[in-house]
Amino acid sequence: MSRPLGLALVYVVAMATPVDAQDVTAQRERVAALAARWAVLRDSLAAMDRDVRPDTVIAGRLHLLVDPAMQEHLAPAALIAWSHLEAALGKTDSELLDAWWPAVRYRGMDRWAWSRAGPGILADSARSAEALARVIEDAAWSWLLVLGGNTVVRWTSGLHPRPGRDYLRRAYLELVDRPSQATRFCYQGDLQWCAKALGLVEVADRWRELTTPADRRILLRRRRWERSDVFQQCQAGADAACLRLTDGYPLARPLSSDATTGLVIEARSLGGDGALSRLLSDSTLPLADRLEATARAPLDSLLSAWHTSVMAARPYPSRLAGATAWVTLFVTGVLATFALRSSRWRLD
Amino acid sequence: MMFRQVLYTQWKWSAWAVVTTAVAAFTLPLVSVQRAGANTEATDVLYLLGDVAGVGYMYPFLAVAAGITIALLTWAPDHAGRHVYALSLPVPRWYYALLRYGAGTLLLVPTMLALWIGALVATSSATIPQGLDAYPTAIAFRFALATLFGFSMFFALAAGTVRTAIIALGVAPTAIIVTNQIIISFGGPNLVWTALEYLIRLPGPMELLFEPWMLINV
Amino acid sequence: MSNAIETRDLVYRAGTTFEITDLALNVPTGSIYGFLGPNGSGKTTTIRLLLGLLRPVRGRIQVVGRQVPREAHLMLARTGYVPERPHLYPTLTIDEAMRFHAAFYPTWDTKWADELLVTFRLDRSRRVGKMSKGETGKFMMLLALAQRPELLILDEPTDGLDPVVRREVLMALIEYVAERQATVFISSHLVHELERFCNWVGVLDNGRLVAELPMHAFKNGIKRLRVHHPPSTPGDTPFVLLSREAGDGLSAGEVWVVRGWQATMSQYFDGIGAQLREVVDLDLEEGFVEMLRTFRHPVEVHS
Repeated sequence: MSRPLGLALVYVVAMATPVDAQDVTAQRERVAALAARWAVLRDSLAAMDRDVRPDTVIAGRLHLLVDPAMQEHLAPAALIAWSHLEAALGKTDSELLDAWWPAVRYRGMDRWAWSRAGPGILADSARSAEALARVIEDAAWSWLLVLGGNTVVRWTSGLHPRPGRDYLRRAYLELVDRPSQATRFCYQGDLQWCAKALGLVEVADRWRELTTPADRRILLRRRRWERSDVFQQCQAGADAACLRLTDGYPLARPLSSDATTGLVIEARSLGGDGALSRLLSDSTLPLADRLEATARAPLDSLLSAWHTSVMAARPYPSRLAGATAWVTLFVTGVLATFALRSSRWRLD
Repeated sequence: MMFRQVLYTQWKWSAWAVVTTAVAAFTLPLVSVQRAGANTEATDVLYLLGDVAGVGYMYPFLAVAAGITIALLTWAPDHAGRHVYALSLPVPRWYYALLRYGAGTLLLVPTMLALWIGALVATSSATIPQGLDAYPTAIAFRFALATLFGFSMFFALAAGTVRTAIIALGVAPTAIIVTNQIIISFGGPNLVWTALEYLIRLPGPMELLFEPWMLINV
Repeated sequence: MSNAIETRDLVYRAGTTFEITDLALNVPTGSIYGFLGPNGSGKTTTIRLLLGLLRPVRGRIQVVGRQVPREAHLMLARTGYVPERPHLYPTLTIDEAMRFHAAFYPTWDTKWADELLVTFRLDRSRRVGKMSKGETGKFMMLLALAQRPELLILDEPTDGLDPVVRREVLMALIEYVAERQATVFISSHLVHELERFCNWVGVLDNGRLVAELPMHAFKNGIKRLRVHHPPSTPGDTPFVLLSREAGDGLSAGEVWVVRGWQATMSQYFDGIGAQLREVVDLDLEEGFVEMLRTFRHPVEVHS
């Protein structure tokens, strides 16, 4: 497809959309958005042109450009994926997917297809519809995060803010096992420290502000390759030596992307319809503001809700599961019965 | 009356084992906590958990060892007499085996209780970092079940004939070796390992033994 | 008269070489039944079948009115058993072993057990595994008797014991039987020992019952006859001719061993033109040997 033809298409689409003629700014923004969508579509189509003759599978707001031969195979997968996405995103946020027309490529057709094309899907015709649906969903979530720019992706390490208890459970473990006063105070419910531990508040010197001398000694102990005198002094309890060792050795945020993703999930849960759209709408705002917009609540309220959820998600891995106990008792009973009915007790 | 006498004879045969395993069971949680406390600072939770987990494998080992020892000592004198005396007693065979089973189970109780008491003492005297909890009762209950499982398994094996025991104990290792050789030579799915996985994961009977044993944990 | 032990068509196989075949035992209640047989004839196996320790291939076993092995535990409550080899727990003391044993027998007589301890000069605190062979034999008999059984099954109870101990054990047994009118089933290869007090005898050879009859019939019925001028073919005899051998060389004639002999049967020899010179009673051991020899070689008639 040539560039003039493409621009013409954008224009037609823009004019065909019923917008308020007096709201020029809004109209410009709409055209810009459509142009962005067109760029994605153009890249996908170009990639598809190189690989296959595409056709389209449509399920809700999902538009998949696929090989016609595989259309029948992918259609049920797309339906499943859409039903999950719609349920997870809600009405407003699912509209974000309108801009996404991924090209679906197949293994074995062209090994470089993945690297040449834009955000798309690598599928496998041998997989079940459910498995393909999961691939489509994952790609959709990744696409949605990319829409919000790099900040959110970096902050969450690209983890998908889909509901689930695992993020919260892992956040609990981090609050407990990270050698940092930020996590310890956060565990106790101090939300200011939670914000610091989550990286929502700028901290000039993480080593000095987020860790105590004992924490620093423990964190530096993990540099097992270190054999210098300074290291020995640090481990012997000299904090000045520890601080010297921290020079040029940046300290990571105490809470990982599991915790931050859990916070996004919490914000979406509080914010209701359109929460994700609000998170992704303005990539220039600080994260804390974007999260407040997402949750439609002050940051403290959001952090408080998150803290409550994290505490509630506490795992109890050492508790004996009822199923384990019953299975063991059952097996023990079976073994005892074997013993009582042993050939030793029957006559030869 | 019968049970009391059966219990008495078994106690006489296995008193040393009962005392030894009970002492070991009492000591193990203390060692676990002491080791963790000595090696770590209060804020270094990962190290503490690592140390607790490092001693953790000793619990199922001790449980099964106690069970096996008591089971083997239960039957050893009858085996020595080729079971002639046991079989000439005026009780149904299964009832006699049940008396021995009951007595053996009762003799495991001191070891189970020793571990529980040891775990309570160890955890009550330890400083546990925030966010972590001690699980003395959970680990004692798990230990009791593992002991009972080990005892029952070897009680059943020892109650059988030597041939049965050889078949039971020989089949699994032989199957693993043969299957591995076949897979190395010809490829294909390792059915034995799949079967083993079923054994050590729920609803497998050995899941209890292969879960992490943590006296202190989140 | 009812039978304390009764088997019918009893078959048992051990391995490929040994089997007990169609065993039909009848042990009358109140009898002292000597179960004779050479080593390896199947006496111990038969006893284990009677006690329910082994499962027969076929056949019916009834002991003190109970079907074995189905009701073996009920039978065992009324039966005292002394096995061929010691089977008690060696780490227990005599006192502990007695208490253990007593717990399983509601008819256990503690007072008599204590008396027997004194009679047998056994030390309560002595460990079973440390006892001498004689002490072990006495202790096992003590356990069997003190449970006051209706039936005693004794498998070579005096084998390997010195004469003094053997006498003590057998005296205790005889006293109990006299007092209680109990049935005794005693196996032995020491034939002369049984001769003194058994009133019934069964002979087993290679898993088959050779004979089963009252002791008096066994002892009186088997005779050695010195016969002069016997015919080459004796024809129909009123007795069972077990064997026939040439004489000792000094005297003409043959030596016949017969079963079922009665004095009036001497007329038979007049009828066939032979002369009966001598009738010799055989003791149990001689009769036992002759019976086995005949059983193993039924056509062995030497001329």
